[in-house]
Amino acid sequence: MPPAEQYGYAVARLRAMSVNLVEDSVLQRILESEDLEGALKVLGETVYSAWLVDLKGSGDFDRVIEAELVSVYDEVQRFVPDVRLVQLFRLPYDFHNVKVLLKSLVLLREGGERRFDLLTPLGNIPSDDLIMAMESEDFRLLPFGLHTLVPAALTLWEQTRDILEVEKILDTGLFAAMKKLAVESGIGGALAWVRGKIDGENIRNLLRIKRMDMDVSAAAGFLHEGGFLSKERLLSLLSEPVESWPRAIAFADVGRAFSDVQDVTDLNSLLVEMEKIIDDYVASILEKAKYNAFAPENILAFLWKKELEAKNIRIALVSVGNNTDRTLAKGLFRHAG
Amino acid sequence: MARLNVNPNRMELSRLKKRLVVAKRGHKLLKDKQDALIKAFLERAREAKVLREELEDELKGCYKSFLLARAQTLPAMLEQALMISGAKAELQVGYKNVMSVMVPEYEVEQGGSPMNYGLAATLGSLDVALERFARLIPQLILLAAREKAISLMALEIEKTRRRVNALEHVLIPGFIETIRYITMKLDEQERSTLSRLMKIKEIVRSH
Repeated sequence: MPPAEQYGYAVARLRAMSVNLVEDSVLQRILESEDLEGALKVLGETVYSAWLVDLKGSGDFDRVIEAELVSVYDEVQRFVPDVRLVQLFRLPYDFHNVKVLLKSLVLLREGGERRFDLLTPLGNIPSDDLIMAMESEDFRLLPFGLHTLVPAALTLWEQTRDILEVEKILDTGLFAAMKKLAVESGIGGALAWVRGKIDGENIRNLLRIKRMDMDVSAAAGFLHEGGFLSKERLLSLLSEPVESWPRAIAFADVGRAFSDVQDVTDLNSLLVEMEKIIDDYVASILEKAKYNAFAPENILAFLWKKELEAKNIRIALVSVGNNTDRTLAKGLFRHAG
Repeated sequence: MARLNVNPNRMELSRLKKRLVVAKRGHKLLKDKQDALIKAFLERAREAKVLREELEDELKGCYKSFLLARAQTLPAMLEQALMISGAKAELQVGYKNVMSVMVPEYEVEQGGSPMNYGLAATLGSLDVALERFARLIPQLILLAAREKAISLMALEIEKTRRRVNALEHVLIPGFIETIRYITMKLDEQERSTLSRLMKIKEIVRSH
């Protein structure tokens, strides 16, 4: 782990970059816009304006959000003392790209076509390198454990023809790789953040599994090791009513997230509410670091804020574009801090 | 009314009278069929309207759930999750005769689970939306069958109406007119024969 002093510069620079984060009032103005053109005009007053010039149509706003995120990740990666902190955030996009290429391979064998258009530049591994590795079936140089995961996933597909099983091992691989990166970085806050994220993910998955009425053996594959709460403890919740979950996990930090839940009777709306609450909980893990000018956790906090900002903008633009209930969209906004 | 181009003889008269009886009977049957078809059509149209309204409301709910998932995820991730479907639907088509209209009856059998994606990059709203869509598919197919039946019945009603009109305003009046013409012709022939015979009788008597 690089010495704490090295983070002073990075944190100071991030504090300066934080000024450019989209404020709640701007989000509100986007949401109150008459149409998508008006909303994009408001977005043009923010840092996103740099990417708006490349916009092909008003419905193409996802490219703008993606371009801004890529730019921020690239910039932060240039000055951060430990790139693993940025890699942590880009890792889910790598796994998404791997899934796209694996599924393309499956589709191609069944007479379909490749979907390279679904690849995102947000990942750590350049898309071209990933395509090359997948096409040549030479996975040796793939990082983040993908060199063993991808062949294992392909073998599993050949044996079972079950894409869900393939997804499960990739998801497990993703969280294992995230935890490994956090451990390697030697930053306590990063490890706590990853463990909190795994807990949040497990709770969210548990709710989804409960709603689908899945049995415990089937549910186990959807939960991930490495959080503060053990898989066994979480699986035992499945047999209990959701109302008793907050009490059962009150000892853990993620239990705090449940304390904000108003109504647990309707699982469909609870699911939507929990997505937001868990994102806010993950942000709260890094809250304490904001008073320390040398804390590496500030880098994670900034990047998470940026992710949430992107999510909030997407929610607002989708809502305006589809002319849906603005109050509902507002309720989905994450607390970017 | 246009008279048929026929020879005015008794043979033709008798043939035309038979055809008129058949045409009148056919007209009555077709008229009854048309009435029954209209009644069935209206009933089905009302049912289909109610079903369509229900399904449109349900579809709105489905799209709302889907939009929730769409708003909170990178669209590429959402599409990636749905690249390979785990659900299968088999559709069987049968036909049922409703007053000589062959209306389709679809039977859909769904298998597998629509949830064929990892949970890490997807949202619960997507599960909800897909579940609702999967539940809606048999209803949508039922609506498709009903609306197809209505459309086929409307065509049949139109066809029957044309036939009824053709019989009522063209064929039957034509037959009646022709029968009247032949009857008049035959009567005239009879009168002419009678007067000829009377004349001959008179000539024979004067000699």
